[in-house]
Amino acid sequence: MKNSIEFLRAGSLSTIQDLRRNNSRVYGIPRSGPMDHRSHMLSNWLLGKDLRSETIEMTLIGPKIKFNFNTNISLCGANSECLINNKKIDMNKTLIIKEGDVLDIKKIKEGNWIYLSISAEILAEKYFDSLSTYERSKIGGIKGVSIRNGDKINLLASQDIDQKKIPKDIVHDFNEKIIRVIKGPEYYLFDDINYFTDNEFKISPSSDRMGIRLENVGNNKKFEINLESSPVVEGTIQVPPDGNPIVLMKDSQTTGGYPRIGIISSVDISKISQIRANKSVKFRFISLDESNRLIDYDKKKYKSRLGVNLVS
Amino acid sequence: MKRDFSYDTLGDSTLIISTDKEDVDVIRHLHLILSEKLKDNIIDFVKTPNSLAVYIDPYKISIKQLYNKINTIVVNESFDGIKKKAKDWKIPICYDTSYAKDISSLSKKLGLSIKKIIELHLRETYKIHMIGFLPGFVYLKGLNNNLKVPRRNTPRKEIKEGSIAIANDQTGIYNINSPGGWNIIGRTPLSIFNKKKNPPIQMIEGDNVKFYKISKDDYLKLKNNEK
Repeated sequence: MKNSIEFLRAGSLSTIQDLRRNNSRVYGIPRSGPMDHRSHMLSNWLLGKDLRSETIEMTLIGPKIKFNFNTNISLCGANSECLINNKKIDMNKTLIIKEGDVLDIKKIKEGNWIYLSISAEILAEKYFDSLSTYERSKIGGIKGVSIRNGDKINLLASQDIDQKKIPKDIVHDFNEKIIRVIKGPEYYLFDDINYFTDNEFKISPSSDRMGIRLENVGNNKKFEINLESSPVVEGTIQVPPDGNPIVLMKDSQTTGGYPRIGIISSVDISKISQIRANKSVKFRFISLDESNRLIDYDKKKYKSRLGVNLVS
Repeated sequence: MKRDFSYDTLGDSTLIISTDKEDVDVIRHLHLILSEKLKDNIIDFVKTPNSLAVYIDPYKISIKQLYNKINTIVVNESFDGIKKKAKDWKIPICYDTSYAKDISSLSKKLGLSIKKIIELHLRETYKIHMIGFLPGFVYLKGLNNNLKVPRRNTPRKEIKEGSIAIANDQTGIYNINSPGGWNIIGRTPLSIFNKKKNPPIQMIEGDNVKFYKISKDDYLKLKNNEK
């Protein structure tokens, strides 16, 4: 019998994501991939996999999954009560799964996105060398959409691996709210930069994989800046005329017509993805050089603590 | 002829190379040479009529290192003979009001009969200005002046694949189901964006597009053949 897993409950929005889709944006196809790519990488690291490999991304209420083969798994990212055969288990470490085991991921308590890595390659639809699901164009994953109740996924043979644990200081800190931002091309067109640096912005519940919508907590300032369609990247903070910024994320469009006031430093994109709706963020502008220094520091830290080369 | 470009950054992972005026041939050529010569460093591109965005993994290479590599290539590149022969695409369009959701309201807004709107839309030959924003969205320049109209105040939640719409000085083709704010005046049965193919779209910036009118019956027949 082939290796497979069965979704007894699909969960709120469970999708297969990886970090392998390249050269698709030139056709208007987003790169997609895990919202919190850092937690995605950590779950792969626990199983000794290539950090870019596929994981299952889950949110709000997780899925209930039955395994029909012996393997290892890991769970990283948002905090949730996770059970194997109704027994509570720890996240952020390698876990042993026996044939017939049922993994149950309950409602998320802290953060937004949780990642399941399995020590066997998932067989799903590849598009531009990637299994990442992009629902709008029905690309990747299982038939291009999120996992449905009763879905069965086939996997290749399970790999034997060493048991690992993620050091405490590397595990995601859900209390941070300062997001570091590099000035965007239209930064200087804004007459009131203080509006963005002095205010806190609340994460709107209507955020999704395309973008995180922010709302000003105090009085809104209106901006009228007209622009030709220009390229954007994940982490771009666009400001529509209503003054409520939108942070573009993994499934975002490839160009945009709203002024780009800033772009979140690559070291903080995972951080903002895990901030829950109705909590707030505060922006702090940094230089490109400073952002590069933060990346260097990040690289060194992960190299020395986990022995890996980070990717994005 | 040597070309001068200006460079800008989009955060720590994207370099934007711009020309001083719109030039799809130069942008296309730049994309071609960089994707060949720097394929190990670059993970993606986005083309607009006057710029090329180059995406990298900042954990592998910095923007500054990328800029140095690109500059070395660009200063040694002649950009001679890059003008590509434009392809001519003939695209069927059905203006039946069941597909052309906004054509009646446009008729009132523009003070033109529906017949006149169709005639003006069919008359022009359009140039592909840009592809992207959403998968396979085709921006076409050359809209008749009398058809210029702003976007809808409230964007639609879902526009059907194949919808052809107008906004400002452009007409465009929605090649996947998506939300959007343009005014829909017809629909093509052709699947211009085919995700099973690589590249998924054969049209390229600079190509010419001319529409020809088909009936609803022809639309349904052609749509069936596409499946």
